Amino acid sequence: MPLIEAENISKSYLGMLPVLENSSFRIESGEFFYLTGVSGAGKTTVFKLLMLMERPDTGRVSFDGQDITLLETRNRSLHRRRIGMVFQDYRLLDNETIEENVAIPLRVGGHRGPGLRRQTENLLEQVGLADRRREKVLGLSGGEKQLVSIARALSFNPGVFFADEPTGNLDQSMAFRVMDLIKEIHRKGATVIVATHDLNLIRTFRARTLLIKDRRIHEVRLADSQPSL
Amino acid sequence: MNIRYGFSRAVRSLLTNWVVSLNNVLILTACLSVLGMVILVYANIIHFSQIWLANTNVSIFLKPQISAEDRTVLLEEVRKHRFVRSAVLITPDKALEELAEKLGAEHSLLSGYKDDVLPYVIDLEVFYEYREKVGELAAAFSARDTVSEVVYAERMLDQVKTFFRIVQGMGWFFIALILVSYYLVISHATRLSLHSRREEIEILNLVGATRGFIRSSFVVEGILVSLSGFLLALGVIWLCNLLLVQGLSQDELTAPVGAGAVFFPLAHLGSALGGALVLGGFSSFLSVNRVLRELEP
Ligand SMILES: Nc1ncnc2c1ncn2[C@@H]1O[C@H](COP(=O)(O)OP(=O)(O)OP(=O)(O)O)[C@@H](O)[C@H]1O
Ligand SMILES: [Mg+2]
Repeated sequence: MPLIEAENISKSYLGMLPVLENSSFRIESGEFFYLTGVSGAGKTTVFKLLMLMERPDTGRVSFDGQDITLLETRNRSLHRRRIGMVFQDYRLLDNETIEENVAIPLRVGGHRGPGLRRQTENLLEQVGLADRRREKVLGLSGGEKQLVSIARALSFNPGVFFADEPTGNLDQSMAFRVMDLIKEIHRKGATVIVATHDLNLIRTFRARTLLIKDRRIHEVRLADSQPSL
Repeated sequence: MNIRYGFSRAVRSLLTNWVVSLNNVLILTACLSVLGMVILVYANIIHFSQIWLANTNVSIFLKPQISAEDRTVLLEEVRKHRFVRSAVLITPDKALEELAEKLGAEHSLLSGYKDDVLPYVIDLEVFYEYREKVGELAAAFSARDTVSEVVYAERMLDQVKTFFRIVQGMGWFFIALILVSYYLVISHATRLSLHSRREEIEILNLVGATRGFIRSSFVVEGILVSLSGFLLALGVIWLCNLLLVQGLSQDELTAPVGAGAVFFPLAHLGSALGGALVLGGFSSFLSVNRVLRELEP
Protein backbone atom coordinates (compact mmCIF):
# COMPACT_ATOMS: atom_id res chain seq x y z
CA MET A 1 0.00 0.00 0.00
CA PRO A 2 1.48 3.40 -0.93
CA LEU A 3 1.99 5.86 1.92
CA ILE A 4 0.54 8.75 -0.04
CA GLU A 5 -1.92 8.32 -2.84
CA ALA A 6 -3.88 10.86 -4.86
CA GLU A 7 -6.57 9.44 -7.13
CA ASN A 8 -8.19 11.51 -9.85
CA ILE A 9 -8.03 14.74 -7.90
CA SER A 10 -9.35 17.97 -9.36
CA LYS A 11 -8.98 21.32 -7.69
CA SER A 12 -10.09 24.79 -8.66
CA TYR A 13 -10.19 27.89 -6.49
CA LEU A 14 -13.42 29.81 -6.29
CA GLY A 15 -14.22 31.39 -9.65
CA MET A 16 -10.85 30.46 -11.23
CA LEU A 17 -9.74 28.00 -13.89
CA PRO A 18 -8.94 24.57 -12.45
CA VAL A 19 -5.39 24.10 -11.16
CA LEU A 20 -5.49 20.33 -11.26
CA GLU A 21 -7.73 18.01 -13.25
CA ASN A 22 -8.06 14.26 -12.78
CA SER A 23 -4.55 13.90 -11.50
CA SER A 24 -3.16 10.88 -9.72
CA PHE A 25 0.15 9.94 -8.12
CA ARG A 26 1.38 7.55 -5.48
CA ILE A 27 4.39 7.70 -3.22
CA GLU A 28 5.71 4.75 -1.26
CA SER A 29 6.93 5.06 2.29
CA GLY A 30 10.56 6.21 2.52
CA GLU A 31 10.76 7.65 -0.99
CA PHE A 32 12.22 11.01 -2.01
CA PHE A 33 10.27 12.93 -4.67
CA TYR A 34 10.65 16.26 -6.34
CA LEU A 35 7.50 18.11 -7.32
CA THR A 36 8.14 20.55 -10.10
CA GLY A 37 6.36 22.77 -12.59
CA VAL A 38 6.32 26.40 -13.66
CA SER A 39 5.19 29.14 -11.31
CA GLY A 40 1.49 28.85 -10.71
CA ALA A 41 1.42 25.23 -11.89
CA GLY A 42 0.00 24.08 -8.56
CA LYS A 43 2.90 22.78 -6.45
CA THR A 44 1.79 24.57 -3.31
CA THR A 45 -1.76 23.49 -4.04
CA VAL A 46 -0.68 19.83 -3.97
CA PHE A 47 0.84 20.36 -0.51
CA LYS A 48 -2.32 22.10 0.67
CA LEU A 49 -4.33 19.07 -0.44
CA LEU A 50 -1.94 16.66 1.31
CA MET A 51 -2.07 18.73 4.52
CA LEU A 52 -5.84 19.06 4.26
CA MET A 53 -5.59 22.84 4.18
CA GLU A 54 -7.75 22.54 1.07
CA ARG A 55 -10.12 19.82 -0.05
CA PRO A 56 -10.09 18.47 -3.62
CA ASP A 57 -13.25 19.17 -5.62
CA THR A 58 -13.31 15.54 -6.68
CA GLY A 59 -11.10 12.54 -6.11
CA ARG A 60 -9.43 11.04 -3.08
CA VAL A 61 -6.27 11.79 -1.14
CA SER A 62 -5.19 9.01 1.16
CA PHE A 63 -2.43 8.33 3.66
CA ASP A 64 -1.86 4.67 4.51
CA GLY A 65 -5.03 3.90 2.59
CA GLN A 66 -7.18 6.20 4.67
CA ASP A 67 -9.04 8.98 2.87
CA ILE A 68 -7.88 12.17 4.65
CA THR A 69 -10.53 14.37 3.08
CA LEU A 70 -13.01 12.71 5.42
CA LEU A 71 -11.06 13.58 8.61
CA GLU A 72 -12.85 15.67 11.20
CA THR A 73 -11.15 18.51 13.10
CA ARG A 74 -9.46 16.43 15.77
CA ASN A 75 -8.08 13.78 13.44
CA ARG A 76 -7.08 16.47 10.99
CA SER A 77 -4.85 17.92 13.74
CA LEU A 78 -3.32 14.51 14.36
CA HIS A 79 -2.77 14.02 10.63
CA ARG A 80 -0.83 17.28 10.44
CA ARG A 81 1.40 16.23 13.30
CA ARG A 82 2.69 13.34 11.21
CA ILE A 83 3.97 15.83 8.66
CA GLY A 84 6.84 18.26 9.01
CA MET A 85 6.36 21.03 6.51
CA VAL A 86 8.58 23.88 5.34
CA PHE A 87 6.32 26.51 3.83
CA GLN A 88 7.20 28.56 0.80
CA ASP A 89 6.51 31.73 2.81
CA TYR A 90 8.15 30.27 5.97
CA ARG A 91 5.12 30.88 8.18
CA LEU A 92 7.19 32.08 11.13
CA LEU A 93 6.22 34.49 13.88
CA ASP A 94 8.41 37.50 13.14
CA ASN A 95 8.12 39.02 16.59
CA GLU A 96 9.17 35.87 18.36
CA THR A 97 12.64 34.48 18.86
CA ILE A 98 14.09 31.69 16.74
CA GLU A 99 13.86 29.42 19.76
CA GLU A 100 10.20 30.20 20.40
CA ASN A 101 9.26 29.56 16.77
CA VAL A 102 10.95 26.19 16.74
CA ALA A 103 9.29 25.28 20.04
CA ILE A 104 5.73 25.79 18.75
CA PRO A 105 5.07 22.23 17.54
CA LEU A 106 6.76 20.83 20.64
CA ARG A 107 4.45 22.85 22.86
CA VAL A 108 1.51 21.64 20.82
CA GLY A 109 2.75 18.13 21.51
CA GLY A 110 2.69 18.83 25.23
CA HIS A 111 6.42 19.33 25.89
CA ARG A 112 7.36 21.70 28.71
CA GLY A 113 10.26 23.01 30.73
CA PRO A 114 13.86 21.76 30.49
CA GLY A 115 12.95 18.89 28.15
CA LEU A 116 11.46 21.37 25.71
CA ARG A 117 14.53 23.61 25.92
CA ARG A 118 16.89 20.72 25.31
CA GLN A 119 14.94 19.53 22.28
CA THR A 120 14.75 23.01 20.82
CA GLU A 121 18.47 23.46 21.23
CA ASN A 122 19.07 20.11 19.62
CA LEU A 123 16.96 21.07 16.58
CA LEU A 124 18.72 24.40 16.25
CA GLU A 125 22.10 22.70 16.39
CA GLN A 126 21.07 20.55 13.42
CA VAL A 127 20.54 23.68 11.31
CA GLY A 128 23.49 25.56 12.84
CA LEU A 129 21.49 28.28 14.61
CA ALA A 130 21.91 27.19 18.23
CA ASP A 131 23.97 30.19 19.28
CA ARG A 132 21.48 32.64 17.75
CA ARG A 133 18.38 31.16 19.35
CA ARG A 134 17.45 34.34 21.26
CA GLU A 135 17.35 36.49 18.12
CA LYS A 136 14.05 37.58 16.69
CA VAL A 137 13.01 36.10 13.35
CA LEU A 138 12.23 39.59 12.02
CA GLY A 139 15.89 40.42 11.41
CA LEU A 140 16.85 37.15 9.72
CA SER A 141 17.74 36.71 6.05
CA GLY A 142 15.57 34.56 3.78
CA GLY A 143 17.99 31.64 4.05
CA GLU A 144 18.12 31.85 7.83
CA LYS A 145 14.34 31.87 7.99
CA GLN A 146 14.40 28.79 5.77
CA LEU A 147 16.65 27.06 8.31
CA VAL A 148 14.42 28.03 11.24
CA SER A 149 11.47 26.71 9.30
CA ILE A 150 13.28 23.41 8.69
CA ALA A 151 14.18 23.08 12.36
CA ARG A 152 10.54 23.63 13.28
CA ALA A 153 9.37 21.06 10.72
CA LEU A 154 11.74 18.48 12.24
CA SER A 155 10.48 18.90 15.77
CA PHE A 156 7.95 16.06 15.75
CA ASN A 157 10.57 13.82 14.21
CA PRO A 158 8.08 13.41 11.38
CA GLY A 159 7.71 10.37 9.19
CA VAL A 160 6.69 12.64 6.33
CA PHE A 161 8.57 15.78 5.33
CA PHE A 162 7.35 18.36 2.81
CA ALA A 163 9.41 21.32 1.67
CA ASP A 164 7.90 23.96 -0.61
CA GLU A 165 10.67 25.77 -2.51
CA PRO A 166 13.13 25.33 0.35
CA THR A 167 15.96 26.83 -1.70
CA GLY A 168 13.97 29.52 -3.45
CA ASN A 169 15.71 32.49 -1.89
CA LEU A 170 19.11 31.01 -1.23
CA ASP A 171 22.53 31.33 -2.80
CA GLN A 172 24.09 28.12 -4.02
CA SER A 173 26.11 27.26 -0.94
CA MET A 174 23.14 27.87 1.36
CA ALA A 175 20.88 25.90 -1.01
CA PHE A 176 23.27 22.96 -0.92
CA ARG A 177 23.39 23.11 2.85
CA VAL A 178 19.59 22.99 3.04
CA MET A 179 19.44 20.11 0.56
CA ASP A 180 22.04 18.20 2.56
CA LEU A 181 19.83 18.60 5.60
CA ILE A 182 16.81 17.32 3.73
CA LYS A 183 18.76 14.36 2.33
CA GLU A 184 19.77 13.60 5.91
CA ILE A 185 16.13 13.61 7.00
CA HIS A 186 15.35 11.22 4.15
CA ARG A 187 18.30 8.99 5.04
CA LYS A 188 16.86 8.65 8.55
CA GLY A 189 13.72 7.16 7.03
CA ALA A 190 11.30 10.00 6.30
CA THR A 191 9.21 10.14 3.16
CA VAL A 192 10.14 13.43 1.50
CA ILE A 193 8.56 15.68 -1.13
CA VAL A 194 10.47 18.79 -2.21
CA ALA A 195 8.76 21.29 -4.49
CA THR A 196 11.08 23.33 -6.67
CA HIS A 197 11.30 24.86 -10.11
CA ASP A 198 15.06 24.84 -9.97
CA LEU A 199 16.20 22.24 -12.53
CA ASN A 200 19.81 22.61 -11.44
CA LEU A 201 18.88 21.48 -8.00
CA ILE A 202 17.13 18.39 -9.36
CA ARG A 203 20.14 17.56 -11.54
CA THR A 204 22.53 17.98 -8.63
CA PHE A 205 20.57 15.98 -6.08
CA ARG A 206 18.91 13.44 -8.31
CA ALA A 207 15.64 11.80 -7.31
CA ARG A 208 12.29 10.76 -8.78
CA THR A 209 10.36 13.76 -10.05
CA LEU A 210 6.68 14.60 -10.43
CA LEU A 211 5.93 17.34 -12.95
CA ILE A 212 2.74 19.38 -12.94
CA LYS A 213 1.95 20.40 -16.48
CA ASP A 214 -1.35 21.30 -18.13
CA ARG A 215 -3.23 20.62 -14.89
CA ARG A 216 -1.95 17.04 -14.71
CA ILE A 217 0.72 15.38 -12.61
CA HIS A 218 3.13 12.98 -14.35
CA GLU A 219 6.32 11.29 -13.28
CA VAL A 220 9.14 12.45 -15.56
CA ARG A 221 12.82 11.86 -16.15
CA LEU A 222 14.41 15.25 -16.66
CA ALA A 223 17.17 15.09 -19.22
CA ASP A 224 20.47 16.82 -18.43
CA SER A 225 20.07 18.90 -21.54
CA GLN A 226 16.52 20.02 -20.81
CA PRO A 227 16.72 23.81 -20.58
CA SER A 228 13.38 24.48 -18.91
CA LEU A 229 10.11 22.99 -17.66
CA MET B 1 -5.74 21.09 30.27
CA ASN B 2 -3.83 23.74 28.35
CA ILE B 3 -4.20 26.37 31.03
CA ARG B 4 -0.50 26.53 31.80
CA TYR B 5 0.49 26.90 28.19
CA GLY B 6 -2.44 29.26 27.62
CA PHE B 7 -1.46 31.43 30.55
CA SER B 8 2.23 31.78 29.78
CA ARG B 9 1.51 32.28 26.09
CA ALA B 10 -1.13 34.91 26.82
CA VAL B 11 1.21 36.84 29.10
CA ARG B 12 3.97 36.72 26.49
CA SER B 13 1.64 37.93 23.81
CA LEU B 14 0.29 40.73 25.99
CA LEU B 15 3.82 41.91 26.66
CA THR B 16 4.99 41.50 23.08
CA ASN B 17 2.00 43.38 21.63
CA TRP B 18 1.89 45.75 24.56
CA VAL B 19 0.62 48.71 22.54
CA VAL B 20 -2.45 46.83 21.37
CA SER B 21 -2.91 45.31 24.82
CA LEU B 22 -2.67 48.64 26.59
CA ASN B 23 -5.07 50.15 24.09
CA ASN B 24 -7.60 47.41 24.75
CA VAL B 25 -7.22 47.62 28.50
CA LEU B 26 -7.73 51.39 28.42
CA ILE B 27 -10.79 51.16 26.20
CA LEU B 28 -12.28 48.65 28.61
CA THR B 29 -11.31 50.80 31.58
CA ALA B 30 -13.05 53.82 30.07
CA CYS B 31 -16.16 51.84 29.25
CA LEU B 32 -16.31 50.09 32.63
CA SER B 33 -15.66 53.34 34.50
CA VAL B 34 -18.62 55.01 32.84
CA LEU B 35 -20.76 51.95 33.48
CA GLY B 36 -19.62 51.78 37.09
CA MET B 37 -20.20 55.47 37.74
CA VAL B 38 -23.71 55.31 36.30
CA ILE B 39 -24.50 52.29 38.43
CA LEU B 40 -22.98 53.92 41.50
CA VAL B 41 -24.94 57.14 41.09
CA TYR B 42 -28.03 55.08 40.46
CA ALA B 43 -27.39 52.96 43.55
CA ASN B 44 -27.05 56.11 45.61
CA ILE B 45 -30.25 57.61 44.28
CA ILE B 46 -32.02 54.40 45.29
CA HIS B 47 -30.25 54.39 48.63
CA PHE B 48 -31.22 57.93 49.51
CA SER B 49 -34.73 57.67 48.23
CA GLN B 50 -35.17 54.58 50.38
CA ILE B 51 -33.98 56.51 53.40
CA TRP B 52 -36.37 59.24 52.44
CA LEU B 53 -39.17 56.78 51.91
CA ALA B 54 -38.35 55.31 55.24
CA ASN B 55 -39.36 58.51 56.95
CA THR B 56 -41.49 56.52 59.29
CA ASN B 57 -42.45 59.17 61.83
CA VAL B 58 -46.06 59.52 62.84
CA SER B 59 -47.56 62.04 65.26
CA ILE B 60 -50.75 61.24 67.16
CA PHE B 61 -52.41 64.41 68.47
CA LEU B 62 -54.46 63.77 71.58
CA LYS B 63 -57.68 65.50 72.53
CA PRO B 64 -57.02 68.21 75.17
CA GLN B 65 -59.53 66.98 77.75
CA ILE B 66 -58.29 63.41 78.29
CA SER B 67 -56.81 62.34 81.62
CA ALA B 68 -53.18 61.59 82.38
CA GLU B 69 -54.17 57.98 82.97
CA ASP B 70 -55.75 57.65 79.52
CA ARG B 71 -52.65 59.16 77.98
CA THR B 72 -50.40 56.58 79.65
CA VAL B 73 -52.71 53.76 78.59
CA LEU B 74 -52.73 54.96 75.01
CA LEU B 75 -48.94 55.39 74.99
CA GLU B 76 -48.49 51.83 76.23
CA GLU B 77 -50.91 50.60 73.60
CA VAL B 78 -49.05 52.43 70.88
CA ARG B 79 -45.72 51.05 72.09
CA LYS B 80 -47.10 47.50 72.01
CA HIS B 81 -48.34 47.80 68.41
CA ARG B 82 -46.29 45.51 66.20
CA PHE B 83 -45.59 48.22 63.58
CA VAL B 84 -44.11 50.56 66.16
CA ARG B 85 -40.42 50.70 66.91
CA SER B 86 -40.59 53.44 69.57
CA ALA B 87 -42.97 56.07 70.86
CA VAL B 88 -42.67 59.05 73.19
CA LEU B 89 -45.19 61.35 74.73
CA ILE B 90 -44.49 65.00 74.09
CA THR B 91 -45.98 67.23 76.76
CA PRO B 92 -47.09 70.76 75.85
CA ASP B 93 -44.23 72.09 78.03
CA LYS B 94 -41.74 70.16 76.05
CA ALA B 95 -43.39 71.05 72.77
CA LEU B 96 -43.19 74.68 73.69
CA GLU B 97 -39.59 74.32 74.70
CA GLU B 98 -38.74 72.70 71.39
CA LEU B 99 -40.63 75.38 69.56
CA ALA B 100 -38.79 78.06 71.45
CA GLU B 101 -35.52 76.39 70.66
CA LYS B 102 -36.39 76.34 66.99
CA LEU B 103 -37.36 79.97 66.98
CA GLY B 104 -34.14 80.85 68.80
CA ALA B 105 -33.75 84.53 69.53
CA GLU B 106 -37.39 85.23 68.86
CA HIS B 107 -38.60 82.98 71.67
CA SER B 108 -39.99 86.03 73.43
CA LEU B 109 -42.82 85.83 70.90
CA LEU B 110 -44.09 82.82 72.79
CA SER B 111 -44.00 84.38 76.24
CA GLY B 112 -47.73 85.15 76.29
CA TYR B 113 -48.83 81.61 75.52
CA LYS B 114 -50.06 79.23 78.10
CA ASP B 115 -49.19 75.58 78.19
CA ASP B 116 -52.64 74.40 77.25
CA VAL B 117 -52.53 75.99 73.81
CA LEU B 118 -50.56 73.02 72.61
CA PRO B 119 -51.98 69.49 72.73
CA TYR B 120 -50.29 66.35 74.03
CA VAL B 121 -48.70 64.45 71.18
CA ILE B 122 -47.42 60.88 70.88
CA ASP B 123 -44.51 60.86 68.42
CA LEU B 124 -43.79 57.37 67.16
CA GLU B 125 -41.51 55.70 64.69
CA VAL B 126 -42.66 52.74 62.60
CA PHE B 127 -40.39 49.76 61.83
CA TYR B 128 -38.81 50.13 58.40
CA GLU B 129 -40.40 46.95 57.07
CA TYR B 130 -43.88 48.24 57.96
CA ARG B 131 -43.39 51.66 56.38
CA GLU B 132 -45.89 50.84 53.65
CA LYS B 133 -48.55 50.21 56.31
CA VAL B 134 -48.33 53.59 58.04
CA GLY B 135 -51.77 54.39 56.66
CA GLU B 136 -53.27 51.35 58.37
CA LEU B 137 -51.75 52.31 61.67
CA ALA B 138 -52.94 55.91 61.32
CA ALA B 139 -56.48 54.76 60.55
CA ALA B 140 -56.55 52.47 63.57
CA PHE B 141 -55.55 55.18 66.01
CA SER B 142 -57.48 58.08 64.54
CA ALA B 143 -60.64 56.04 65.17
CA ARG B 144 -60.04 56.33 68.95
CA ASP B 145 -62.13 58.91 70.79
CA THR B 146 -59.05 60.07 72.73
CA VAL B 147 -57.28 61.00 69.50
CA SER B 148 -57.95 64.19 67.62
CA GLU B 149 -55.69 63.68 64.62
CA VAL B 150 -52.93 61.46 63.21
CA VAL B 151 -50.34 63.16 61.02
CA TYR B 152 -47.78 61.45 58.76
CA ALA B 153 -46.04 62.10 55.46
CA GLU B 154 -48.53 60.19 53.36
CA ARG B 155 -48.81 62.45 50.35
CA MET B 156 -45.12 63.10 50.18
CA LEU B 157 -44.54 59.37 50.29
CA ASP B 158 -46.65 58.85 47.19
CA GLN B 159 -44.77 61.49 45.26
CA VAL B 160 -41.44 60.02 46.21
CA LYS B 161 -42.61 56.60 45.09
CA THR B 162 -43.54 57.89 41.65
CA PHE B 163 -40.21 59.65 41.30
CA PHE B 164 -38.49 56.50 42.44
CA ARG B 165 -40.21 54.40 39.78
CA ILE B 166 -39.17 56.82 37.03
CA VAL B 167 -35.56 56.85 38.19
CA GLN B 168 -35.53 53.07 38.37
CA GLY B 169 -36.80 52.74 34.80
CA MET B 170 -34.24 55.22 33.49
CA GLY B 171 -31.45 53.53 35.40
CA TRP B 172 -32.17 50.12 33.88
CA PHE B 173 -32.35 51.66 30.44
CA PHE B 174 -28.91 53.26 30.81
CA ILE B 175 -27.37 50.15 32.27
CA ALA B 176 -28.69 48.05 29.41
CA LEU B 177 -27.37 50.59 26.89
CA ILE B 178 -23.91 50.60 28.42
CA LEU B 179 -23.79 46.82 28.74
CA VAL B 180 -24.51 46.51 25.03
CA SER B 181 -21.77 49.00 24.18
CA TYR B 182 -19.43 47.22 26.60
CA TYR B 183 -19.94 43.99 24.70
CA LEU B 184 -19.38 45.75 21.36
CA VAL B 185 -16.18 47.36 22.65
CA ILE B 186 -14.78 44.15 24.02
CA SER B 187 -15.56 42.11 20.94
CA HIS B 188 -14.10 44.82 18.74
CA ALA B 189 -10.99 44.91 20.91
CA THR B 190 -10.50 41.17 20.73
CA ARG B 191 -11.00 41.28 16.99
CA LEU B 192 -8.30 43.94 16.75
CA SER B 193 -5.83 41.98 18.81
CA LEU B 194 -6.73 38.81 16.95
CA HIS B 195 -5.87 40.52 13.74
CA SER B 196 -2.30 40.89 14.94
CA ARG B 197 -2.26 37.26 16.09
CA ARG B 198 -4.05 35.69 13.16
CA GLU B 199 -0.73 34.48 11.81
CA GLU B 200 -0.15 32.60 15.04
CA ILE B 201 -3.54 30.90 14.85
CA GLU B 202 -2.79 29.83 11.29
CA ILE B 203 0.60 28.42 12.25
CA LEU B 204 -0.76 26.56 15.26
CA ASN B 205 -3.45 25.15 13.03
CA LEU B 206 -0.87 24.04 10.46
CA VAL B 207 1.36 22.24 12.92
CA GLY B 208 -1.61 20.27 14.19
CA ALA B 209 -2.74 22.05 17.34
CA THR B 210 -6.24 21.13 18.43
CA ARG B 211 -8.89 23.83 18.59
CA GLY B 212 -8.91 23.71 22.37
CA PHE B 213 -5.17 24.29 22.43
CA ILE B 214 -5.37 27.22 20.03
CA ARG B 215 -8.24 28.80 21.92
CA SER B 216 -6.68 28.45 25.36
CA SER B 217 -4.16 31.27 25.13
CA PHE B 218 -6.61 33.63 23.46
CA VAL B 219 -9.31 32.99 26.00
CA VAL B 220 -6.83 33.52 28.82
CA GLU B 221 -5.69 36.71 27.12
CA GLY B 222 -9.27 37.97 26.87
CA ILE B 223 -9.74 37.23 30.55
CA LEU B 224 -6.52 38.98 31.52
CA VAL B 225 -7.39 42.07 29.49
CA SER B 226 -10.82 42.12 31.08
CA LEU B 227 -9.32 41.70 34.54
CA SER B 228 -6.90 44.58 34.05
CA GLY B 229 -9.65 46.78 32.63
CA PHE B 230 -11.89 45.91 35.54
CA LEU B 231 -9.30 46.60 38.23
CA LEU B 232 -8.25 49.89 36.63
CA ALA B 233 -11.87 50.97 36.27
CA LEU B 234 -12.51 50.03 39.89
CA GLY B 235 -9.58 52.25 40.88
CA VAL B 236 -10.92 55.13 38.79
CA ILE B 237 -14.42 54.79 40.23
CA TRP B 238 -13.12 54.46 43.76
CA LEU B 239 -11.04 57.61 43.34
CA CYS B 240 -13.94 59.56 41.80
CA ASN B 241 -16.17 58.40 44.61
CA LEU B 242 -13.62 59.44 47.22
CA LEU B 243 -13.22 62.90 45.69
CA LEU B 244 -16.98 63.31 45.40
CA VAL B 245 -17.63 62.29 49.00
CA GLN B 246 -14.86 64.60 50.19
CA GLY B 247 -16.28 67.43 48.13
CA LEU B 248 -19.75 66.86 49.56
CA SER B 249 -18.53 66.81 53.14
CA GLN B 250 -16.96 70.27 52.73
CA ASP B 251 -20.40 71.85 52.78
CA GLU B 252 -22.63 71.53 55.82
CA LEU B 253 -25.73 71.19 53.67
CA THR B 254 -24.41 68.26 51.63
CA ALA B 255 -22.35 66.66 54.39
CA PRO B 256 -24.98 64.06 55.37
CA VAL B 257 -25.23 62.97 51.72
CA GLY B 258 -21.46 62.56 51.58
CA ALA B 259 -21.35 60.65 54.82
CA GLY B 260 -24.28 58.40 53.93
CA ALA B 261 -23.24 57.68 50.32
CA VAL B 262 -22.88 54.00 49.50
CA PHE B 263 -20.13 52.24 47.53
CA PHE B 264 -20.52 48.89 45.79
CA PRO B 265 -20.99 46.00 48.19
CA LEU B 266 -18.27 43.35 47.92
CA ALA B 267 -20.69 40.68 46.72
CA HIS B 268 -21.80 42.88 43.80
CA LEU B 269 -18.22 43.74 42.91
CA GLY B 270 -17.47 40.05 42.90
CA SER B 271 -20.28 39.20 40.53
CA ALA B 272 -19.44 42.18 38.30
CA LEU B 273 -15.85 40.93 38.13
CA GLY B 274 -17.08 37.44 37.32
CA GLY B 275 -19.33 38.84 34.60
CA ALA B 276 -16.52 40.91 33.08
CA LEU B 277 -14.14 37.93 33.04
CA VAL B 278 -16.71 35.62 31.49
CA LEU B 279 -17.55 38.24 28.88
CA GLY B 280 -13.84 38.79 28.11
CA GLY B 281 -13.12 35.09 27.77
CA PHE B 282 -16.27 34.40 25.82
CA SER B 283 -15.78 37.13 23.24
CA SER B 284 -12.19 35.94 22.65
CA PHE B 285 -13.54 32.45 22.27
CA LEU B 286 -16.01 33.62 19.63
CA SER B 287 -13.38 35.61 17.73
CA VAL B 288 -10.92 32.70 17.62
CA ASN B 289 -13.69 30.42 16.46
CA ARG B 290 -14.44 32.80 13.64
CA VAL B 291 -10.82 32.65 12.45
CA LEU B 292 -10.74 28.87 12.84
CA ARG B 293 -13.87 28.54 10.75
CA GLU B 294 -12.22 30.58 8.00
CA LEU B 295 -9.28 28.19 8.07
CA GLU B 296 -11.50 25.14 7.54
CA PRO B 297 -10.66 23.42 4.28
N1 LIG C 1 -6.20 30.74 -2.22
C1 LIG C 1 -6.23 30.89 -3.54
N2 LIG C 1 -7.28 31.49 -4.12
C2 LIG C 1 -7.36 31.63 -5.47
N3 LIG C 1 -6.42 31.19 -6.28
C3 LIG C 1 -5.35 30.56 -5.79
C4 LIG C 1 -5.20 30.37 -4.39
N4 LIG C 1 -4.03 29.72 -4.18
C5 LIG C 1 -3.49 29.52 -5.38
N5 LIG C 1 -4.27 30.01 -6.36
C6 LIG C 1 -4.01 29.92 -7.80
O1 LIG C 1 -3.77 28.57 -8.12
C7 LIG C 1 -2.71 28.44 -9.04
C8 LIG C 1 -1.66 27.53 -8.45
O2 LIG C 1 -1.07 28.14 -7.33
P1 LIG C 1 0.11 27.47 -6.51
O3 LIG C 1 0.44 28.38 -5.41
O4 LIG C 1 -0.28 26.09 -6.18
O5 LIG C 1 1.29 27.46 -7.58
P2 LIG C 1 2.81 27.05 -7.38
O6 LIG C 1 3.10 25.99 -8.36
O7 LIG C 1 3.09 26.77 -5.97
O8 LIG C 1 3.53 28.40 -7.82
P3 LIG C 1 4.95 29.00 -7.33
O9 LIG C 1 6.01 28.22 -8.01
O10 LIG C 1 4.92 30.40 -7.79
O11 LIG C 1 4.96 28.86 -5.85
C9 LIG C 1 -2.19 29.85 -9.29
O12 LIG C 1 -2.73 30.28 -10.53
C10 LIG C 1 -2.74 30.66 -8.17
O13 LIG C 1 -3.05 31.95 -8.62
MG1 LIG D 1 4.14 27.61 -4.50
